[in-house]
Amino acid sequence: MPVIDAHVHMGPGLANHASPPLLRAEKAEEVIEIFDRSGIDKGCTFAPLIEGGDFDDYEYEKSNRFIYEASKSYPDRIIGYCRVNPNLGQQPLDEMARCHDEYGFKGLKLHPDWEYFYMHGPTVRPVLDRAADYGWPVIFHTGYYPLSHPTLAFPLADAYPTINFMLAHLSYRHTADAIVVAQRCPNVYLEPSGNATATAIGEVLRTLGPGKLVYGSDLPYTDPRDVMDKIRLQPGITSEDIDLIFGGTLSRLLGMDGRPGTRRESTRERTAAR
Amino acid sequence: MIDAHCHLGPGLRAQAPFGPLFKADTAESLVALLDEVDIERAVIFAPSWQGGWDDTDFNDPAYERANAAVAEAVNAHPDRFIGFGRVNPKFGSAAVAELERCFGEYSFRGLKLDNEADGFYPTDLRLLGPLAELVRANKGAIIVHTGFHPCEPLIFLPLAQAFPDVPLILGHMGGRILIDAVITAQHASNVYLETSGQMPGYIARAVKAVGADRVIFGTDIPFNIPSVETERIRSIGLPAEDLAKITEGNISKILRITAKMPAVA
Repeated sequence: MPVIDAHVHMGPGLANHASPPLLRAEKAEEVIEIFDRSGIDKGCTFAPLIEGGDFDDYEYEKSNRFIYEASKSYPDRIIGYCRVNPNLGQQPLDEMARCHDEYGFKGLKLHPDWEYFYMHGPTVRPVLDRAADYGWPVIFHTGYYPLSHPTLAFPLADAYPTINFMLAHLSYRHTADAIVVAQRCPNVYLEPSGNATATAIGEVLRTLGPGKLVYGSDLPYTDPRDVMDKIRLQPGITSEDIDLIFGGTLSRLLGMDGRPGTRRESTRERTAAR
Repeated sequence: MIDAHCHLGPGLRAQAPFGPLFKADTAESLVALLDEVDIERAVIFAPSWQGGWDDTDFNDPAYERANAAVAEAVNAHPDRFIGFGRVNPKFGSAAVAELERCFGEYSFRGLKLDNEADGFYPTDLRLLGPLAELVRANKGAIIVHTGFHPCEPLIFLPLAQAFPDVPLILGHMGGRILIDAVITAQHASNVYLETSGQMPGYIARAVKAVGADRVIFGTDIPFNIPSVETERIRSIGLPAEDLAKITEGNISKILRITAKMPAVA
């Protein structure tokens, strides 16, 4: 079973962070090197947040293009994800179309706190309509009240039953609430990247079982091996659990597990078929 | 008019730093406030316990003394008051025992919860489940304090969905984040929005969004000015039929209040 990382940042935007990330991931080669030494086969890879400076890319167009080029160089390793700012009107929809039609991306990353929108707010709805059309899973940064509190996923999971949502970082200090959301919503999964504690991960496994936890690291802000150890060293965890968490579930969400009917045909594809 | 949200009891004397505007620490003082604005009946429960020491203040973290004071007031004015118990779910089986006393010994009709004051997680059904079971068994209702974090409306959706036959009243209808209170109500038909302290435009929007059947009048006396609350609900231009539902009909249906029967079953 290949190991897939659900949360990887890469690109030139990393060079402009006020405090540099732990690892270097401005170039595809650097990310592949981290993958290799961490035992990661593939990574869902998207732009880092744009923190200002000389790399002016608030629309994430250069960043998405960079991910595309990396995915062409390493088609077996880099799974391209689109990142947009939903507050910019038509632009994010056009950019999503480019990421889908031209770049062949497989999912969408959204960050309510950085881009400043409510996770369930009006600007994100057209973007999610489009993600549903494309059959993309959506990974949300979560964890801060009020913009990205996990309970805001309740109305989203309900309004978009065909989208599989991943709530990143186990929603930080709101893990207890994220667990309840994932418990009640069949299309919500939790992702433990960054500084989710081993205790919080254990609580997810005890309450939801391994099928709702999708491994992701938040590379290069942390070392993937740290997150991996917090999962692999959980007391009582089985190798079947580990297979599910480290790629089994995610490959199903991405339609990569070869089983028919797991990835929904997009509206665009249906229209083209007619 | 029936008021779904009133506080009464000795705990009001210990409120700090923002004490109540009016006196409602005895039944008589609260009845006087209600009389001024023609509120016929009120759902009453304890105010938040905000700390203190037995020898100088009011020491009642488990709300036992507060609930006893509410029971005394209800007994003195059964035609005016409907008692709700207040507990801190963090006390576990002790909280369950206190709520059992509230329904059994005091004949209360519901439960008031406030996680902003009492520091529990509203999504923790391990603690809230047994309390909600008791409310269900006694055909009561739950009213919760809502507003900004940590008592944002959507955090109560799991409780509402886990107990679909228990009416859940969102006190203050989420305050400034009305939109999430509306979403919560749209996702659970047992959720009601309560008007105390809310802006008039927001109340009108709530009625439009969820319908007059799901909005309930409350004042939060003695923390609000009674006439401001009663005038507000009359001033927003609701049809008489809707106004009657909000100020009387809905809560009467939920708590099975009839004109003739005393408020205590």
